[in-house]
Amino acid sequence: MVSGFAVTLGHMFKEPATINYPFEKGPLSPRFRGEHALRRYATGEERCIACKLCEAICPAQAITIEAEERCDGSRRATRYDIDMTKCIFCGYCQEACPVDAIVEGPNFEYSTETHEELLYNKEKLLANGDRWEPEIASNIKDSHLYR
Amino acid sequence: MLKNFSKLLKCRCFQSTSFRLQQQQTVPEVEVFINGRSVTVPSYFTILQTLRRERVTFPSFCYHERLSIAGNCRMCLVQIEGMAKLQIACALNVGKGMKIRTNSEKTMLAQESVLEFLLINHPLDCPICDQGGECDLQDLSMRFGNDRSRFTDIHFSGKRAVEDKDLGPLIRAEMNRCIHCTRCIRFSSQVCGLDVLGTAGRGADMLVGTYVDKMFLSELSGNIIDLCPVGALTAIPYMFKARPWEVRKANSIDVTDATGTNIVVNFRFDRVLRVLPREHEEINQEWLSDKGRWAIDSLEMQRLVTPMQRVNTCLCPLDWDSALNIAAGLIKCANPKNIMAIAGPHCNVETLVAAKDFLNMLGSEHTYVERGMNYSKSNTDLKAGFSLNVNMKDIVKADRILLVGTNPRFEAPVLNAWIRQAYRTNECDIFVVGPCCDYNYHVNYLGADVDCLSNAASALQGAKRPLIFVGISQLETANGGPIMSTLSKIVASLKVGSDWGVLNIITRDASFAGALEAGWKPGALEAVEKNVPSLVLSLGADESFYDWKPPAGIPFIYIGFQGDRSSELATIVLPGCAYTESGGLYLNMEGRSQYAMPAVTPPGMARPDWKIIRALAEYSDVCMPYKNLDSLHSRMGQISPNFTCLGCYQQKVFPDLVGQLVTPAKGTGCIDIDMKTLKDYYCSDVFTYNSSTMIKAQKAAVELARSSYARI
Amino acid sequence: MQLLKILSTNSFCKVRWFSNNLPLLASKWFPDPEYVKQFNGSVMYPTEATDKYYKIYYNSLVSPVERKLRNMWINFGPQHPAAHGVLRLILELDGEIVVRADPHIGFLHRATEKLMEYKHYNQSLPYMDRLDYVSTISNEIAFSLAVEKLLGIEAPPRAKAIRVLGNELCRVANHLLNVSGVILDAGGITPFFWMCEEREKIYELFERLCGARVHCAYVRPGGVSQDMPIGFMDDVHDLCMKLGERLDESEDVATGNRLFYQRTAGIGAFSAHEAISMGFTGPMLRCAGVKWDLRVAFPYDGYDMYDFDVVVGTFGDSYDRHLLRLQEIRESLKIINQVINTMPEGEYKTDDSKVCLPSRKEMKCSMESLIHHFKLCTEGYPVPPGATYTSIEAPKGELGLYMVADGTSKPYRIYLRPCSYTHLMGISVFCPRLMLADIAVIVASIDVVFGDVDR
Repeated sequence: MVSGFAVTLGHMFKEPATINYPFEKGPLSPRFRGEHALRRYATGEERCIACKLCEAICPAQAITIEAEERCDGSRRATRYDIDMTKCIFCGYCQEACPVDAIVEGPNFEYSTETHEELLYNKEKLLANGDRWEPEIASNIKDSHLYR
Repeated sequence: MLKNFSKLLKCRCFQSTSFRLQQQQTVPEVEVFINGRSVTVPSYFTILQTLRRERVTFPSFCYHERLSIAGNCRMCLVQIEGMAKLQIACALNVGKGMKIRTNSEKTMLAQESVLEFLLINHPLDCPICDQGGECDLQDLSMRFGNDRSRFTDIHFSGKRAVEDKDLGPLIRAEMNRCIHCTRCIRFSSQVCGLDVLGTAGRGADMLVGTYVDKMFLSELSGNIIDLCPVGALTAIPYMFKARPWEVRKANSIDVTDATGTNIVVNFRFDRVLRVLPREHEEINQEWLSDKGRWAIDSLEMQRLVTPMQRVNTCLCPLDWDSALNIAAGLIKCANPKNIMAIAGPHCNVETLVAAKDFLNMLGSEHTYVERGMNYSKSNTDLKAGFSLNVNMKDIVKADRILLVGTNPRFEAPVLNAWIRQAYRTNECDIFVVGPCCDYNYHVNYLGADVDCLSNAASALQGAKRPLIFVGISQLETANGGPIMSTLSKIVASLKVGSDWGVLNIITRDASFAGALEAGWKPGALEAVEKNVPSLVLSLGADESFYDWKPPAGIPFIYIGFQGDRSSELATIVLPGCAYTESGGLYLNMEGRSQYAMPAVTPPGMARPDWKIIRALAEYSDVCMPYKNLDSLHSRMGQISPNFTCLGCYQQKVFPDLVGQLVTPAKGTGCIDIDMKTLKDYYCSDVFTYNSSTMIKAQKAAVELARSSYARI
Repeated sequence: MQLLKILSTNSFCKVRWFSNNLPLLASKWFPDPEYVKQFNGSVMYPTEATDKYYKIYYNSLVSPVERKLRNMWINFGPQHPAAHGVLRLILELDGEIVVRADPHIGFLHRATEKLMEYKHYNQSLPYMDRLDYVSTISNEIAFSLAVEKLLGIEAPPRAKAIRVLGNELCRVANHLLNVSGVILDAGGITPFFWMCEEREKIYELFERLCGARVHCAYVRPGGVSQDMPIGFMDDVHDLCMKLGERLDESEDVATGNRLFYQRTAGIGAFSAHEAISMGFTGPMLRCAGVKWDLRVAFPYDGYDMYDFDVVVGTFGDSYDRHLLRLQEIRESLKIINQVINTMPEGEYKTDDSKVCLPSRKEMKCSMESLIHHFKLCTEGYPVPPGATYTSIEAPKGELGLYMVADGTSKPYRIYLRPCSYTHLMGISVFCPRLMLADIAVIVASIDVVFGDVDR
């Protein structure tokens, strides 16, 4: 009993284990699988070639892709939807992507008030990619040894 | 009496000799061993055939059972005990006691090496290649290939790169992906009869392509896409649209011609994406005409999606209830004796039966198909008088063929493939009475005039298995009678077995045989001119209304899926379904009934045609004895057992009566064919006119005909 | 009555003889002396005093009301905080004593087994994470081992060591949660926070390992998806060094605490025989004194290379389970230390692109690898026909997979043998005769997770 109290007393003088969340954040590894993003090449050309491997491998069938020929003859997605409410964040899509287009980025703060806002389309995903590109690129660089 | 008896006896003799012949012809069987297991196969089998029959998984690229053997892919190398080197299984005949080793280390190493060689020069295109997922190269690499490559020079000297070929607006040729199996070359020369494709160079510099800058256009051209084991040849209309694992499939029947080609409709998200042929050994082998394959984009053009009513000059959308109310009002007001229904080319039997029952219950007998046919007194009573009287697969046995006013190459491309096969393998001589057309085999023109038919008798004389094909469009003209009477005289003079139907009609509409079987009458145009209808009900019929317009004041109800001329004239438009949406029963030109499964849901407020008719009957206070598909099918079974006995070919009865009942008349003038060359083929009716792919193809055909290489 | 007595006392053949020879006069009944005997004592006759009682004269119009007395039934859960998930427990109470406890399950049923029949083997793997979501990597290991067994392959040594590391970290995390959960339900909240902190550190390690804190999708048939990042083992070592101290603290606060002892000791006890007959596994079985651990009995993933003890309890009560789990954490730390010291070099997954995805670098420049990548992503790998029952010692007990393959890339049937399910069913056996307040402690100490129970 006494030792129990001593332990409790000892803990009172320790640094708190909690963090002040919105201002402080926990550590994230380069492998973190967060919100999805579609990346672009440095030229600004979107990477996705609508090969549909991510759609095929997605265990939750959260991805829907429709493809068409663009005017320059390249294969592009006309529709790239991810239902983030279906997604189980297994990371299979980024493993499947042969051109590193779809990635699960480091962002984990994307909660919304409605379900519809979580049905991401291609524009939203590309915008995510543009917004998080520095982090995503550095993460990919960091983990190049293991890929 | 005596004559008849001797005839019968002869018949018996013929049969027994043929039976004996068959017995004699049974080929000797040999015993071979596959991995130690003994199997017995006919001696003419190749090793690959043996392995396929025994369901041994064995790789090959260039071998195709409907094409000649090339043996150039080397994928089917197999070890045979006693032979020093590996042999290609596709080109080696079985021998007595041959010991085949498909799973020996040597065989497997050879397969692995062949794949490694193929993949050295194969571009890394899988993610953007349409073939990805249904690619033989992928499948075989997974199953037989190594899992890593020893080819590391990708960044320096790289892979083989060649120029892409322009094969026309339908087929995309990505020649980097080509593995030189030459299936396309063999198909084009053997089945299409076009020596357009070929190889140039050899070894690593071998190129498959057209020697001159010429498009590859044929009525069966789409099949080279199916044949191509890799993604070198892909379909342009289907380009990048879907992956094979995400499309859903429905077995259906092609309705763009009357052959009853078996197809698989591939669809995704309720959109028809592509049509592929389905194997049927007696009808289409595994070919499909280009129209059936690519006219599907017409299903999304000019569609009627809501009921409409004419107000002054425009059609205003309505809901079903009021549309049916108005239509029923029109029917009730019309003189029931003169209500007339005209069936279009794509109606399924369900619709035809429902519509005929409806009209009969109203008191009218006026149900007509658009196409006319009045050469015979028997009219439509004899099935032999309006259909193909020989099983399509037996055409290949013919040794002499006479084409009268028809170009089966465009009217029934799949049937033409059989004729060409007879020409190639059976040394069949082909004679033509009619104008000069594009045939893909050598033909002897006997003249274009009706009188020239008399020359045909000598041409067919002495043939063991002669066939005469008459285009249905000839029977619409006044020459129909004379042609048929001359031909039946010729047939009577020929000495052939009784089970061999010599005189055949090539029909062109998918609904034709079914409609006539259901009791509809041919000749809608004549009928409307003979007695003025009180109301016209058009079931997707369109062609007739280019020539005839219902006089003002006659109500016109249109039930169909595509709005064209007849919907423009209509008082009420009730949107129906296309064949991909409602499915249904179709009778092909042989009279073989086949069921098409529905694939997608109809767009907007469109409904299956027979249901519309059923509802219309309800609104018109007529009670029809069926309310679902099952009861409708049993009603169809009452009308004709042929409607419920699916899939099998039935021998026609009384074929010799056809000639006896012909209306005798004197024929004059020339025989004409409306589809003479390839450019006439693509856009031949309303359905194909609405297809942008078909229009592109037609333009290309015109261009090809004009190009300087057209005759080469 | 006599007949009844004979029926109950005499042997069967005599009864037969009786009933065969005597006509059974059921319509007439003669009171026998023994029956009359019960009325020999004092009998209440109406007196003057009783006449004042309120009397009901029953006749054909008024008939006596039969009152049915029933014990109180209460519904424990599915929203109860101590239900540890969506457990609905129907408790029949006699006062404060539980007469019957009837667990109702299925609120979290997701048809995982059926779902898996329509997915490639690799696609099913993330679903395993969602079973026992407190020890995800263990579930993945079970699945991967089953597929590997059907494929006839074995993971390379480094992959095995990484798996053991992950499995033991999972065990630590799971037991930390459970130990602190029991203390929490017994009334002590402080250790819960301390152990959450430690668990958080483990989750952070998992996140570095595979990118997700909980649902890892890390272990794959043929190995693991990625190698450990540099410095990972150092941090695991750091954590393990300090974790023992954290446990001591919690033990100081809780284990020796009289209150905690009285809330848990002797509560939810069962014998070894009962435990075996109810199909208990893992800590639930060992706490009753049965020494059974699949890591020792059927070593997998190279568990036979590590030196550790199987902890066994004595009384099979909640207190024993608490002690056993704490001790198991220490054993796990022992294993982890050994794994870190002997981590082999080499491949982290089978070097066979027919099963495992080729590396990204290869995929981008070699045609063979690209084809294999494409086919593995879209169709998966075909698994030869066969059936297997593969089980591992998950933190909660034996997690088994019965998998039938039909030669295609999708399983013909998968049956998941969850550990929590059987443990939960034990509630109805050993909860009766306990107090209502003990139920919460028992539910906590049997360690159920509803992802696992409902599948």
